Amino acid sequence: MQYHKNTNGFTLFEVMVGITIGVMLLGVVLSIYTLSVKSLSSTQNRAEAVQNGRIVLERLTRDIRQSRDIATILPPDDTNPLNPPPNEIIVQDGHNTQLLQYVRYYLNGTDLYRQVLQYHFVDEPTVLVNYDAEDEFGNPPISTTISDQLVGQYIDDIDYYGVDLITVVVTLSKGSVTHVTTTSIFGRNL
Amino acid sequence: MDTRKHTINTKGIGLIEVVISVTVLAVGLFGLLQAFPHGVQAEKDIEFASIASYLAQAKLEELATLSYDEITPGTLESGAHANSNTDSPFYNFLRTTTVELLDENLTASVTDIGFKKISVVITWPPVLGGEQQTTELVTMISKR
Repeated sequence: MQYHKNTNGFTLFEVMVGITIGVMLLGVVLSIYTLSVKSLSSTQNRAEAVQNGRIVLERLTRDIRQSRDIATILPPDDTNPLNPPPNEIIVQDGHNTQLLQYVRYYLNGTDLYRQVLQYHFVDEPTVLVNYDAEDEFGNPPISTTISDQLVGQYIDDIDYYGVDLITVVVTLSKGSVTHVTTTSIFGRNL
Repeated sequence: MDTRKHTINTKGIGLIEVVISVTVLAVGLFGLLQAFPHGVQAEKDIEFASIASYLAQAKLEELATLSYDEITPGTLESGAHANSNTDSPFYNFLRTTTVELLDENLTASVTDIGFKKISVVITWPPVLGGEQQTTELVTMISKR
């Protein structure tokens, strides 16, 4: 073996050029990876916000459109700061005509719940009455929760306004994504 | 062991080859990068399409409050802002509502036989340039 004749290895210069190119490529690949992760997260957040907005509007549309009475007093528009739109709404259930009950949509944090309520007086628990009924002493009825279910998530704000035509504006946010959607509903039985 | 002398290494990768392969890789990665703006655009367009269909539905509900005779044939509004407030997220959604009389074959007609077609078109500006995006909802109403 003649070690001094070995010319097969890499020179320092070659190694440095190789490492530089390799690091540059790794940097590009890493930045693409980071971009794709960010893009994935924003896409997922937006998809979830849009999906929840759609679910919320569909559920509300179904209940308000069929309802025979809107128990919540709503402002005519959302422009009067002295009469702002409420964040919850109670409507009479229009799908079960045999049963006098109400559907309440309310926010719990960023979750929207759909609660089914029945009203009755203390001494007559089997007789269902209107939400605004009064007994002979002028007392309001008590309410019983029949069901209480989560309908939508990631809701920052939900507003209801309008008299015959009820407008719902939902603001959702997940991560850095904010999605605002709206629709109007005409109650066919109001 | 003497044969080692003759094996002069000529099988390595030359600079030209490295440059070519890096260029090919760079072109490929660049092509990959183009996918992200398109992905974001598609996602935004889907969000706007969802909003637009609810805005169109809101207009149909508004017309549902009117009777058959109150809905007059013609263009009810053309390119109206879905919300006239410039701060509103719905300001850039433009709405055109037209009402047409229909005959018994459900084609456009000039005489009123008790059929009307309402179409609501919502347009909104695209996210990354290109053509206006459009969604349309159509319904028919009859005289009762």
